[in-house]
Amino acid sequence: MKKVYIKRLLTIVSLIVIPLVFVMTTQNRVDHNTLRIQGFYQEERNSLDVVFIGSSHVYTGYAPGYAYGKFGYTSYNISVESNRLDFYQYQIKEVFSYQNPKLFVIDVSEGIREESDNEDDKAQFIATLRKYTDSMPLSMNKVELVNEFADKEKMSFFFPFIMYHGQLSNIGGVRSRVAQDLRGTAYLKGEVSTNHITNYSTLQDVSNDYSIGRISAQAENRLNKLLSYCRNIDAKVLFVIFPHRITCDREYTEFINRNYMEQKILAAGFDIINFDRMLDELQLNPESDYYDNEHLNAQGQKKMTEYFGALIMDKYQFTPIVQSASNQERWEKSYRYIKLFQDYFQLHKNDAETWWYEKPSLIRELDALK
Amino acid sequence: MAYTSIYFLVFIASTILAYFVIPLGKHKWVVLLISSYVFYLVAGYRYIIFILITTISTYAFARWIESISVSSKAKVNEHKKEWNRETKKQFKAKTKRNMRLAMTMCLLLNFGILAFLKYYNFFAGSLNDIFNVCGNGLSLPTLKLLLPLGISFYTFQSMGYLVDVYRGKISAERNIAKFALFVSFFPQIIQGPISFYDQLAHQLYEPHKMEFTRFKHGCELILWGFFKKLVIADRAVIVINNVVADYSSHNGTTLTFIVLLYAVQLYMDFSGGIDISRGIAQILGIDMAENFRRPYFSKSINEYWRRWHITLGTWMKEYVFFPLSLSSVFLSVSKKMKASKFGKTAVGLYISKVLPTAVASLIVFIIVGVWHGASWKYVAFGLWNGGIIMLSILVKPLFDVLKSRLRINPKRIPWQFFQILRTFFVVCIGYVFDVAPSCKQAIQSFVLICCGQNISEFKEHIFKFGLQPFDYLIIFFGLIVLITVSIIQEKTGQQIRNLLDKRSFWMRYLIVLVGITLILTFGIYGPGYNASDFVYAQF
Repeated sequence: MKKVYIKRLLTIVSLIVIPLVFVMTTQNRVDHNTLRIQGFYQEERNSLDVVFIGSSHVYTGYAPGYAYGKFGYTSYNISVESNRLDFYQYQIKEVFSYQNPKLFVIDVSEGIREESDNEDDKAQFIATLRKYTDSMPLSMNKVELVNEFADKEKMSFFFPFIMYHGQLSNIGGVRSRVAQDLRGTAYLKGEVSTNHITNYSTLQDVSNDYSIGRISAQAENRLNKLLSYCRNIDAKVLFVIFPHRITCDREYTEFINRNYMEQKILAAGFDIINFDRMLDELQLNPESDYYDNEHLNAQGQKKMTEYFGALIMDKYQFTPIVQSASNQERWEKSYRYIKLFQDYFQLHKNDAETWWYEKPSLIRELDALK
Repeated sequence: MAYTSIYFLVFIASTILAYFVIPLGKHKWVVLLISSYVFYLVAGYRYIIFILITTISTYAFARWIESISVSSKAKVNEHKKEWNRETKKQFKAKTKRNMRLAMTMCLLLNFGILAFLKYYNFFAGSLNDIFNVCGNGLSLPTLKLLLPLGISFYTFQSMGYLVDVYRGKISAERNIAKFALFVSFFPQIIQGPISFYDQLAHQLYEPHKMEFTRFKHGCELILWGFFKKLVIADRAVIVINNVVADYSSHNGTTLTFIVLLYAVQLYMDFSGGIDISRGIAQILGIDMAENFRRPYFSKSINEYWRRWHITLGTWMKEYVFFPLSLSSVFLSVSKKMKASKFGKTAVGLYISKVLPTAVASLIVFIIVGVWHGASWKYVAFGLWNGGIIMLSILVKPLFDVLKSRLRINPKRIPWQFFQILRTFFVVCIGYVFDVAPSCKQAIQSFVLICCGQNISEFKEHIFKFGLQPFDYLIIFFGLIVLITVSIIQEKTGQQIRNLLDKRSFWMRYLIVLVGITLILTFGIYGPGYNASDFVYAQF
């Protein structure tokens, strides 16, 4: 080929590639979901013993780095804010592309959700899908997930800049992502927490309440689909319901609806732990360990991790994977950061409500505590 | 398939590739025809029937008109010696009548379709209002009619061709497929330009080779079009739509701001779209007519209409203005006026001379107004522009006297600047009709703009119209780039693309690289943005 043609071709290609690379790296929404999912792909291949799948209940209620320090097994939350049961099987499939865990812990608290056809619900559903797919690398699994649930603008799921370009507010987020990229690992392993504590008027004791509510046919269908998928995977599955604080009739109705799901899961032959009835065993103090009725704060998270980690080791009796020296060092570092994080919470527990997740400003403050 | 969608980019890339790669020799135009029909089918397959009717009827009638003309000439030649002058004259008149009849039938059919689809509901609504006032209980039904893509553009273009054949200016196209390409050529179908057969057709049918300079210039023009459309126009339209949605609740300052923003948005949207169309055509080896020549630098409203939507203006001049102003009715009125007592005075003589031009201008602009949309506000828009032009023709001598008395030097920059501002002001008054949801609200807007200014309230609300301060900043900087480019073009009379060619490779490379990055970063596209359609696509 003549030199001039090569030059022209290179010019054209670079004029397309350089701006595209620029917008694809800088024009994205970055939040704790993004960093958590990104962190999963930074984990060394086949190095995770346990993978947690779920929604905000999981990433606020369980600290993988702390569990490693206490019990020696490695785990990761690939939970997403308002995660839907519809997506779980794709998330399990994605885990298997990178890891070979012995156990999946799947939180089904979101399973009672009823979707309507109104525009707000649809938009929220798509927003949740984006929170997961925005950080997902291209794969057939991603294509199938997008094809099944996105009804329009599918291109923007593969090129998120189409959705988020030109927003100055993204720039800070991009910094967090680049910083995590440079660290090569997520120190907090997807954990998010807060110092916030909310009050309540009356607490209902449900520790011995096995009343059964019901869920919609749509929700039941979703659950059945997930159960039949889990039957065929090459790992143990433990379903859980993270601990809720029941303070009103609406929450009680949701509690008995979750009981219904618990019954269905047990009937399908799976293990399930309903922590809603185990507040005493967990030694959770409803007055100080919750940031709202559905989620634990940093203090509650610590207690939950200690109890749940011990339970997992006791129940499944597995030998943790022997990690490479470099990965072991990373996990030990993670445990140290989680300890710093817990100290940080103690320092700030009386301050104004603040959310903490893996962004450079937090890491800097944690470093200062060393 | 919107111009700003990724599918459109893939579509044009495939068309360009197919056009230059498939070895079709002199039949390369077939690729363009297939692409144009694919584009049309994707845009709205239900409406393909209308473009087919226009294509087939115009083709057939043009052939018929030509055959009448040819056979008439043959017959005249055949009877050259037998027929006297009077017989020949009568025969030619009869031939002309037949040709006119054929042309009228075709014009009626095609403009009839356009009028029915575009204006039926407007007329039905207006008549129903009259019936209501009369209280006679009559009511015409309104119909759910959707406009086929680009119907105004391809109808005008085809009818221009028909009239040219009638006038003997061009020969009728023999190949219906080739003619179908002339009618449907995809870069111009959305919003023009309205091309003339003798200027465009041969370019469409000739095979073109890939030329790197044309490719480069075409891509640069497309890029410039996207910048205008995506970065500026689609950002500005968010504010305009939000204000128009709740039009009556805004004060005069907001309305003034919206009219000014509309002037920017309309130009960026329309000229940006045309740049994209022309850029695509340029890559394919086809030079389409220029449609804008920096209209806001015009020193008179007359000049503005020679710089704005140039091809529509040329079409109107060629097929409406001249036939009207040179018609026997207009000329006889002028003659009668000249012969009257009033015509003997200096004023009367001048008015009788320019009256056909002035009245024809007014009629042309009423048609231009109605062409823009089926609403009384567009009639008012046409009347405003036509009225100003008519008035300027009629009072021109008075202005000339005034200018010489005031010793105004028309070449001085302050005077020229004043003329530009004055013209822009007049244009913006016309835009009030465009922006307002109805004619009545447009009149209310004038009152508010004159008497209802409230700057503090405007300051309070400006960031509640859908844009953040940063977005206004982008519009502002975009405008600075545009004004700079326009001044350079106006001064040098050259395209920026040609000037860029004289710069070093790296300089050009950097400009294009920054341009693409800016469009990708700050362009309004994607699901969260609801990028608006091209304003002129609806015509």
